[in-house]
Amino acid sequence: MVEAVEAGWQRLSPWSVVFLFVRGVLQFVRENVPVLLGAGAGVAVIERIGATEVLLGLAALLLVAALLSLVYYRRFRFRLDDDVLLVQKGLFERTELKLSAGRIQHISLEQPAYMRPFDIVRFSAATPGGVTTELELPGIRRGLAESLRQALSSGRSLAEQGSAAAGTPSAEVVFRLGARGLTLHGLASNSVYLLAAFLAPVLQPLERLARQHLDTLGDSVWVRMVVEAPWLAGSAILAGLIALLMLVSVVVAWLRFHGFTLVTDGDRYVQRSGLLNRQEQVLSARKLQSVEWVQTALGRLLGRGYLVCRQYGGLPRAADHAGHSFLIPGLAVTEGPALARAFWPPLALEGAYARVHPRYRRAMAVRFGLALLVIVGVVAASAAQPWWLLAAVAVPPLAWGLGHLRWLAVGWRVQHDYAFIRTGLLGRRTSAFPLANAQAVRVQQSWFQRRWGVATLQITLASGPERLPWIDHAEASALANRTLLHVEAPPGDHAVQSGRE
Amino acid sequence: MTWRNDPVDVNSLPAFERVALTPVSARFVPYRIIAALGFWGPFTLIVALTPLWATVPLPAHAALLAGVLLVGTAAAVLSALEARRRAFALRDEDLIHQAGLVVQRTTVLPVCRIQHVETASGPLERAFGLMRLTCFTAGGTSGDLVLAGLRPETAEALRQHLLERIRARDDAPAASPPEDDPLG
Repeated sequence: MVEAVEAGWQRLSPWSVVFLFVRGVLQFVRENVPVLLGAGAGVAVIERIGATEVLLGLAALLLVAALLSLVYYRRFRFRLDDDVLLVQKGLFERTELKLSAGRIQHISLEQPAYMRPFDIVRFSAATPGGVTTELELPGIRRGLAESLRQALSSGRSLAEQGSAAAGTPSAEVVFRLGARGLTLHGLASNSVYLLAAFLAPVLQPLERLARQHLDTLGDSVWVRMVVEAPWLAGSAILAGLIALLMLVSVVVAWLRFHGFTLVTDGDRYVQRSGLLNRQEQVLSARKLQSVEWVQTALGRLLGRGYLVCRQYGGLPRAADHAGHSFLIPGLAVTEGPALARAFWPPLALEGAYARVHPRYRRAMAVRFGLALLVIVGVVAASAAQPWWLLAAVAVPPLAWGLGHLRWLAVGWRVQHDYAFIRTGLLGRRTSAFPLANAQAVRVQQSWFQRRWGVATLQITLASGPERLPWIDHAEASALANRTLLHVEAPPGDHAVQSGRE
Repeated sequence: MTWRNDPVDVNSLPAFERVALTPVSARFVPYRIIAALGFWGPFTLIVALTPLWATVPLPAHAALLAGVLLVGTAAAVLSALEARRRAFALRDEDLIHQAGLVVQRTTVLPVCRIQHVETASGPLERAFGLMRLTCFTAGGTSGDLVLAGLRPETAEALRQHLLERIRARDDAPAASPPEDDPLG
């Protein structure tokens, strides 16, 4: 499987031209089609200049894309010098990238379905930075990719690893996702809402189309039914829409996570998944910053959740579904915390969590209330109907309810030198990390918090900040000091410094 | 993997909140006032000079002007008060920074987490003889610490000290615990 990396400059596999072409076209379509659809401009363009011309134009575009892919392939070369990967690329401008093994946070191999016959993969390595930068080799042989990954993730030069590369590594399967877990993950996934948001711009042209066709429908049974029972029809349409979104969400989950396996290999964790597009991600245990156990609102109903392992230069929270973070999907309520212990044995996500100060509820209610009032104001203004302002009456109880839900969700615990911070509203997101992973600590008090003797503690990890709001000020300071002790004192000194000889 | 579970006596830990902090330079107060006025001054001028009276009645225009003036003055006063609260301290193992007036923040940045140190000063800061020290960490922007309003010699001394510590740490990687090496 693993093959040696040759010295000197190397090219991508010739098949990568296909890969580059397909990806370029897909990207072009993704960037431009929503615009055409959203504005309803697509139909207008075809009507105006005729279908043949449009097809000819498309063919010309495809030809240009093919040529560009070929040039890109011709100009792309890379080499491995000890543990430094050098890449030269660029269509019009020549760019040289250097990446040393020590800087790599994350390596992933990806294999779209159409690349499988040629055994070509896309190799990408991410480095930490303000914005995560990525270096990719779009289309090299799998064997070469595997040996590159080994050379770069072990930090050893190729000559050193020699025989080690020949034998297959001793991998142990930690978790394998079944069909049921996969389906439930799809159902529970928040990506339903993301899909809905994505579909929103398409709705308007659809409505326009529907109106055009409404006249031709004329006097059918359906139209009569809608006219006779508008509420029933409305709910039926809504239910159908939700069912459709859920179906799409399940399909997306199947595409993304089908055949998910997580294996340990020394101090590395490797996950493989994907129905059409096979993905392989590696997480180094040394670079792990925090583990998150996430249950969406639906996930709590279905008894499912997922784990997210965060490393350096953490990606924003919303990127959970982007396929970049190390996500372990479809876990049952007992499986998740048990699997978290595979990363850090003392990690106990289950158990009681301390609540924050009850005043936090009011602080959150005020915030929710203000946000809701703004929404009511905007809606009233845009609808130009003052009676919408009556909705403001419903804001205080709603805001109080949301504040209470938020307060119920937030909890924390420090156990075995690990901090656990839980947050959420209807869902739950529990972040756990060793105190020793802190990069900086901040204790913050607003004017209100000073009145109640509470503070917000923020522990910044290399993967991003974790906030613990509205806890007792003395407690916040003590936890901050304890965190600093773990970071600053050499290991073995903790007991001495904490007054125990 | 071995792990310990020693009880920790929280009362005997070194406490960051009991460290005596050094205030930033006294010139930081006038600097902040000028900076706030520099931000709000143009707004006031625009409101005062725009021929609004064509559409807006004079009393309303006067009220608007008074409002902008009031906000500008309040911003200047609050900036001055906030500047007086800014303070910092350097301990053996960390850097402490206190800032904020309504929301008071105390940030502690362990020296072993600093990746890189930088001093900088804008033209207005230079006019007041001030310098800013930024400590970068692996935590991205939320982990970075900015000490503004330092005297140049203080900023330089701090920078030198921190750079020496970083160099000493990088030269002896074996001395630091494995999980402490941010890019290990």
